[in-house]
Amino acid sequence: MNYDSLRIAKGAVVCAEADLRGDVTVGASTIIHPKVRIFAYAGPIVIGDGCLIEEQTVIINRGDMSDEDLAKFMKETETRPPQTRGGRNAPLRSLQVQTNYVCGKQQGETLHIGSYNVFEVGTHVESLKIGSNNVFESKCKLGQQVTVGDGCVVSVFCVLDKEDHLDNMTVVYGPGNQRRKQQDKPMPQTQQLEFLAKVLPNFHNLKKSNVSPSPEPIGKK
Amino acid sequence: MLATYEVERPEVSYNKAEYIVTASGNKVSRRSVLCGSQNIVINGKTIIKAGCMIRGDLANIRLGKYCALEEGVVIRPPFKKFIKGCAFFPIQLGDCCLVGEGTVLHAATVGNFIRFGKNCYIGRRCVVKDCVIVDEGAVVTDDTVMPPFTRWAGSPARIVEDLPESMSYVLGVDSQEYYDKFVPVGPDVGPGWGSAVRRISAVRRISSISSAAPASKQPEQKSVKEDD
Repeated sequence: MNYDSLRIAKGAVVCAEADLRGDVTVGASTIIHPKVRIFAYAGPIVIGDGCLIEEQTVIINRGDMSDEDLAKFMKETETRPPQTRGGRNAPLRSLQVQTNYVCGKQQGETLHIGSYNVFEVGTHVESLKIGSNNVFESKCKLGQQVTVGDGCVVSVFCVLDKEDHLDNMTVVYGPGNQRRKQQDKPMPQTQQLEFLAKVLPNFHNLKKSNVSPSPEPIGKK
Repeated sequence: MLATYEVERPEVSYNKAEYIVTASGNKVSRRSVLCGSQNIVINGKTIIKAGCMIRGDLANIRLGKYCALEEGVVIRPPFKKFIKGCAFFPIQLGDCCLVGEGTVLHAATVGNFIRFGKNCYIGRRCVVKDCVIVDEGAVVTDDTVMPPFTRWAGSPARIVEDLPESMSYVLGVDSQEYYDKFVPVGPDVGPGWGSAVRRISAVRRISSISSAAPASKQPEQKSVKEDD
């Protein structure tokens, strides 16, 4: 049984090599790079407009999934084993790795992400409420109990896994997760979004906007 | 404790079916992702392991000889805004660069004889000169120029020591050893994938069983010798 229902707004660029499962909504002019994993496991995920989601980012609506299960799930979907890779003309659906963790089956709380957020390479996001104009730098991690306001920056390798709230304009930085306030919001990356929207379709297959993925079963030619 | 480049490396074996070996001796995992392969130049004898991503679709990327990218390395051209317009910078890596597991590399140019440890972050538009060592978990901030013969550590990364001039020789020899000791095991598989290739390899496997000799191992050793 396939529970995927993708809603991709017009103008969004979602690479086919990104792995989106379950009930995921993507706003207009959002860019999703290849090898991004967005799993609406325990409930829907809604992503706003103009977000930039770079490769190896994981956004997961985790629900009550245990740490062990999560680690197993992440490992299974991390790299595709070579034998499941089809030929050049293999249907794109078969790019997904099969796992026991079916996304979209449960109807839990919705994970909301606002507009103009930047998720850099390898961020891991479980947080259920994220505002707008935030920057999450490489490999930072936001736990389920974290809520984020507007205009925040979470720096490289920072891990926030306890119950926490980031007020507007907070900057989390350094190995000890120090905090301070900044005076103005990080700039929206509109130029980069425009550039990527032009360049990415030349090199990647895209998931079509406003169309749910083809219902054809895996392995059918 | 001695660093890995100071002691002799152990032999590491890889599954022959997983790696593609090119004519110039590059070994590229089938589980790595090379986007925009027409913009990626790899000069030879470079190892790219599973889970690596090289974003050639954003800008040109050149890798030198005897480089090795461990699991999960991301090489991604940095973005820069100008007064008029914007661009992704091309990336150049020199010879004998080893990049550790999970490192994110946004640098503009990287010289020869480089060691990046595990889980490093090399900021946008960094210029890394020759013979630089970056310790595990270091965070090199954006636009840093890393002078030659230095070792960096910490977050934010700072210079912790100067390296002797002989280090370039040590690292060069170490890189070559790394490549030479990365040896294949497992059944022989032809280039590319798809049913035709699988059929050929199946035929080959059957014929090698019928001749009752480990035929797959001998020619491989020979080719390594020729490269030396």
